[in-house]
Amino acid sequence: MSEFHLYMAQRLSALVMAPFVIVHIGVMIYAIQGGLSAAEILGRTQGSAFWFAFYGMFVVAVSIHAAIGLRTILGEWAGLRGGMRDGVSALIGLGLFALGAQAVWAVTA
Amino acid sequence: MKRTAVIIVLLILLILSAGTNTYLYLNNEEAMAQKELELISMRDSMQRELMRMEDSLDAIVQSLQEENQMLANKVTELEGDCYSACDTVAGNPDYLGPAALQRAWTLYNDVKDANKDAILDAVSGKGGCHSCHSMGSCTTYCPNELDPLSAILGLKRATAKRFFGGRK
Repeated sequence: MSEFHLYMAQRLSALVMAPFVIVHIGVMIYAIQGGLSAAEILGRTQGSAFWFAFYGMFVVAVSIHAAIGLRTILGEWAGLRGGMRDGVSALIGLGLFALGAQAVWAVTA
Repeated sequence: MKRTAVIIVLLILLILSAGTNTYLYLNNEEAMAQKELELISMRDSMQRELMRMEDSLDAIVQSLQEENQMLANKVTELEGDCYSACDTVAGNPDYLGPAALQRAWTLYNDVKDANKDAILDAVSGKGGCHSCHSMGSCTTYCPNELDPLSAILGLKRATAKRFFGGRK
């Protein structure tokens, strides 16, 4: 994957995330009105195909976006180069995806 | 009798002369009109020729101005203030830097350069225009009042448009 394709992937994932972030924050503000409980959250999300798709896509976009951004920081700030830098950022991306997917599965399944 | 004959002859001559003069006068009028038409068409063709010359002069002046701008850009590249002001240059040894990318943007916009794809390919690789973080020190410190930041943004935009199949 070329630098240019990484650049496009990061921009496009940002485009996908923008409405997700707005809805995510909006629902957070709405959900904490009158207290916050795990039961209330799970009541909304469990068995919901909508929230599974919403947070599923969100997690995919975040993993792509953050891994590419951290790859740049690893190069410019930590001085990692070549395969080391690509490998570490790919691991970060996979790790974010694994953690996120697990969380989505836990609250929507 | 003899006198009458002379008067008649003189009268005839007078009439003839008046007729001839009238004929010559009318003829002359026509010739003048003809000449005027010729003059008008001559004037028009000269005007056209002048306009053509003006146009080609304009083209020459424009290409000289472009040449001048390119030379000014080259001088800036040699000065390299934008390059040393750039934090991305400091952090990323592969980065082409603002001066080279400014030059690429100038070439990309040069009407005399037909191979725009090759320019976009050259700035899309490792350390190309997409490595820029748009911090803008290059534009702030440019000694020639150039704007490498906008040039790099232009290159990014052009490559993204090409990616989606659009043209400039």
